[in-house]
Amino acid sequence: MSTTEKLLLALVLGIAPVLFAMAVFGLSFNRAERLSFCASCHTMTPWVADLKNPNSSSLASKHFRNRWIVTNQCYTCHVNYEFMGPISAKLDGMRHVVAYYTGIGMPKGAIKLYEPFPNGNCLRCHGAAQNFNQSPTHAAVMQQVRANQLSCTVCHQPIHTPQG
Amino acid sequence: MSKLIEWALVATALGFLLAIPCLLVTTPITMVLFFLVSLPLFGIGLLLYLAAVVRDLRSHKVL
Repeated sequence: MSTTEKLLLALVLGIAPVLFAMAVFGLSFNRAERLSFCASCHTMTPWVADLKNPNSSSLASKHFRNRWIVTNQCYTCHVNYEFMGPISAKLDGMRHVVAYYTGIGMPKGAIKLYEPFPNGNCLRCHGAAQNFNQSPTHAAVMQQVRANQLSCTVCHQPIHTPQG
Repeated sequence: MSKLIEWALVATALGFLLAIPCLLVTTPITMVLFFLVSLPLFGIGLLLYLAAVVRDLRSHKVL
């Protein structure tokens, strides 16, 4: 085998797949944050229908309709904001696809969160907001809310009203 | 061309083929295909290639 052929093989089998995989990895991770990505799973259809329902009273729908969250609405609330949050959210998503098609690890019953919704996900936007900090209702429970001892969702309901 | 290289080329070609849907349209299914099938195929291709390189170097008594 000539040197040129060897270099070509190194390019085709070594360098090209690595560069290509890095590009697809980055692109797909970025796209996986979009609402359209979540909506592409038909399991999510009732939740997406609720988001887009102009008469829905759910918190999620209000955030979507009023553009309180401009883009990536599902991701913004449902990814935990620690170091591994974005990665673990995507791994969970892939695990759900495998569970759906193979039945392996498929949870029984209705869809629910793995753990209680962390206040940090709300406080990331609301935490520094003037109307949040100056509200007398919030002031009374501020420490508990910031310490994640009292969930925002205790008072702020309904979160989702899945439709269809 | 050794069998190892041939298999490496097949694995890498399949890896590329199955990664293209994810590149064009990212959905949970295409993403699973890329991460759980394409990436391992790229890995297998690379390992087979490295094995062929090592074998070639040994045959020339470099290693």
